[in-house]
Amino acid sequence: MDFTKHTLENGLTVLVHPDHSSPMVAMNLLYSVGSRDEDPSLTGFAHLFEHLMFGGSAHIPDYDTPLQRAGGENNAFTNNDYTDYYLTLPSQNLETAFWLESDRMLELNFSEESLEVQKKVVAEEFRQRYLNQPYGDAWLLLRPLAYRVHPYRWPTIGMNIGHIEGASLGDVKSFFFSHYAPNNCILTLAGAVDPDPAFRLAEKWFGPIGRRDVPERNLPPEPPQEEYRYGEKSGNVPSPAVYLAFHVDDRLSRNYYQSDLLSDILSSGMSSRLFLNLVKNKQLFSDIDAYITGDRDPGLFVVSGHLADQVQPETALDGIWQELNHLSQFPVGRRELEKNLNRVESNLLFNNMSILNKAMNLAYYEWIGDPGLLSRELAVYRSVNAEELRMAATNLFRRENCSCLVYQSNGKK
Amino acid sequence: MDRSTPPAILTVEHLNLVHPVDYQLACGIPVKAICAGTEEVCRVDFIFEAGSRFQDHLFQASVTNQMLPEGIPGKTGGQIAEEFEFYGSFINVSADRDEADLTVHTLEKFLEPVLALTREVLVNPLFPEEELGVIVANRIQSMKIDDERVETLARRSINRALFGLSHPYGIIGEIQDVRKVRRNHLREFHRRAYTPANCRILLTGPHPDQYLRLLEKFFGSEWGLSGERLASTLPPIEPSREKEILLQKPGAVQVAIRIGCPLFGRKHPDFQRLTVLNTILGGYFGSRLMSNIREEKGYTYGISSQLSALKDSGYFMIGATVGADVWHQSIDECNKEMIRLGREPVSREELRLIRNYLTGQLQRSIDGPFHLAEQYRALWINDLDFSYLSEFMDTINRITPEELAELAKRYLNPEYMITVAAGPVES
Repeated sequence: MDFTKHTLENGLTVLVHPDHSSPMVAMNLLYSVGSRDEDPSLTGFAHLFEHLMFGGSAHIPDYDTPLQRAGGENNAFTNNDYTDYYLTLPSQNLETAFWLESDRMLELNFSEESLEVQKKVVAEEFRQRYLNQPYGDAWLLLRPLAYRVHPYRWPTIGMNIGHIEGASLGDVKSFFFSHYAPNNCILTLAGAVDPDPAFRLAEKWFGPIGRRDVPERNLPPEPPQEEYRYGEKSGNVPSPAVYLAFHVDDRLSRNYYQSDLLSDILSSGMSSRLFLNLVKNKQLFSDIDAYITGDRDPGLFVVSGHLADQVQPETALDGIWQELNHLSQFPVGRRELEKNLNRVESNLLFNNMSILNKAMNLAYYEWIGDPGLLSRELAVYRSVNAEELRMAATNLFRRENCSCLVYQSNGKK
Repeated sequence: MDRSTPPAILTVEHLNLVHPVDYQLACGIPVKAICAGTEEVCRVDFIFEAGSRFQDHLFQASVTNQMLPEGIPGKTGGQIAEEFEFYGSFINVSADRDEADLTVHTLEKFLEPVLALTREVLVNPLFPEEELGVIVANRIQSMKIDDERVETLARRSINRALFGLSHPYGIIGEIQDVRKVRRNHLREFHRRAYTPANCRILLTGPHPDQYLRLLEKFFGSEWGLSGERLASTLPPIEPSREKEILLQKPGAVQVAIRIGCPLFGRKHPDFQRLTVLNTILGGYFGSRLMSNIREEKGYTYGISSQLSALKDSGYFMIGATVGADVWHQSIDECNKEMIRLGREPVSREELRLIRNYLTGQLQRSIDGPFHLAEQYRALWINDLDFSYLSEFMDTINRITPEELAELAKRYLNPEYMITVAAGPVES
């Protein structure tokens, strides 16, 4: 994917990918602030803040209305590492997007009313996604089991609703000025737009915003895990579920690609090992998944599944360990590896087709340090061989590197 | 600089519609081919009139559809999946009330072997007994999990209430019904429903001529029963007389609400205008329901309303999951918003916003080859084509505040609505 990059004097990085097969433009702003940057006594704050970004800015009382009036649509998400705001709109109204996004980077209107309402909305989101769903709180329990020190030990939504409800307007202001800054943001555009006019608009609207002091990130690294960890929870669920989490290296390591391929071999597609062996043949699980969290700092390799009727958690866990041990002992066959690499190729292509995905990907790869990596990543995957995968599995799937959560059914209707 | 004055806005006046080319395979299957996309990937939709309205047994249609790739002569389900996955291709099966689909996404360079295998999957599925057992058991497990959600309880309940328990659109199977699925039901339904006469194919990608040649090679000659299209005349719907349905779910910390009424499908003369009205009420982020119930009161994480078009019917529905202590207030506010739409004409300013938003949405909905395919599929199954979208553009730009108020009074009167609340709802 070709792109042109330009950095403003205030530190804002702008990348443009023209794609004139579309009449629209996608704009993405990635702010390098996520839940890992939160104070342990104010967790969930980065995400609450994302909600407040729609409550009006210095000169514009409401973000959504003018964008919709320009035919636009937008959304945002927060994860452990960063907060992402994205929109698409007809190309002739592109300037509206610059106007809106630059004003909320300049300054929010910090309204007490908006804060109070969004605290309630986020509390309902917490209930809807984590408390009012079967197994919904599993990740609230798995994270502190796997992480003792690093801020990945709490989820993006926060450790508990109380942290969100306690947020004050003072907290909001200080969070804004220490993280929302041109020098902490990457702006990308994809679609019916060319670099020069886009850079001119960026200078016009974002240029006057001053650089801000963004505190240097200095997170405590998670010490190597040295013992098997086990946790149990009993809840109102129809059947037990199990979660295994293993520590992997960070996003920029070669281990990322090895782990990603191992997770594909285990559970990507209906011919993957876990699905064929544990769901279809041994019928231990009704569904099962293996994936990596893909975080910037060292993350997790997770295997999780819902148990089939009448299966005991010990039997199910044994089934998973047999598959993991097999990967540690025997190299993956040629055709199986080739199949998974072909799927990686397809996935990379299919996930980079719409202008919105292109804008989001460009911002993400710039954020991890190299927008050109998007085009080169397939070659990195293809350079991984079977013996290397086996060694990665040996190192990864050790009991002392594992945190295990068993979600039991309390049997109540 | 002046940041208070918004930049000038231009309205989308014109849609870049890529009309498909018409084609017919030698065996009679109608094909539409859309030339679109810059990457060398393509999508093939096999659309059968094989949805649940045509079935004789509960779950017959959806399990038949799901089991198509679970075994063919000489290959197990695992081997079939392995082959598709080796080519980096994705096949998806899905069945709804009217249609059942098999959709293929693939790199162009692998289209030939992928279509060869797809032919076997569609024409010669074996429905192996053992695979059926696994699928049934897993479906039961996932239904048990789903049944723990207040959203599921509310959705199933209102669906039954809107159409009636004996109407094919209203019948929803339970766990004990999945257990009754038999292999011979699947074979029988496949023989009857997966035939050329009952099939249409949509092709999308940058080189449709090449795909047509391959399609003719694998699907052109006679296959399956050369019967008629499946016919099914639906009985009249029988909505529930009970207007308020409360479902107790002790222990839940939120209440799922659904408010709806039966309406009509896409071909009804009021469907397009009603789509505009529904957008104002609950069809986008800035809608009246979102502004009032989320952004003003903080009762919910999200609330929306939708118009759902089925082939021979349709319905309107509001849905939200709200705080356990405010479910009553939330329903009241929904009703107030419906009444307000009939009483106060929409302001010029709001209508202008809706027009620009909807035309932008239209442009978005056909941006890129796969969006084009999804849009065209939704129209084609109703025997409509892209001219429907041009008409919709005209409707959006012509509709008046008076017409909208009139429509609200006619269709969105709270007295016509059935309301379901599931959760901790002691009255």
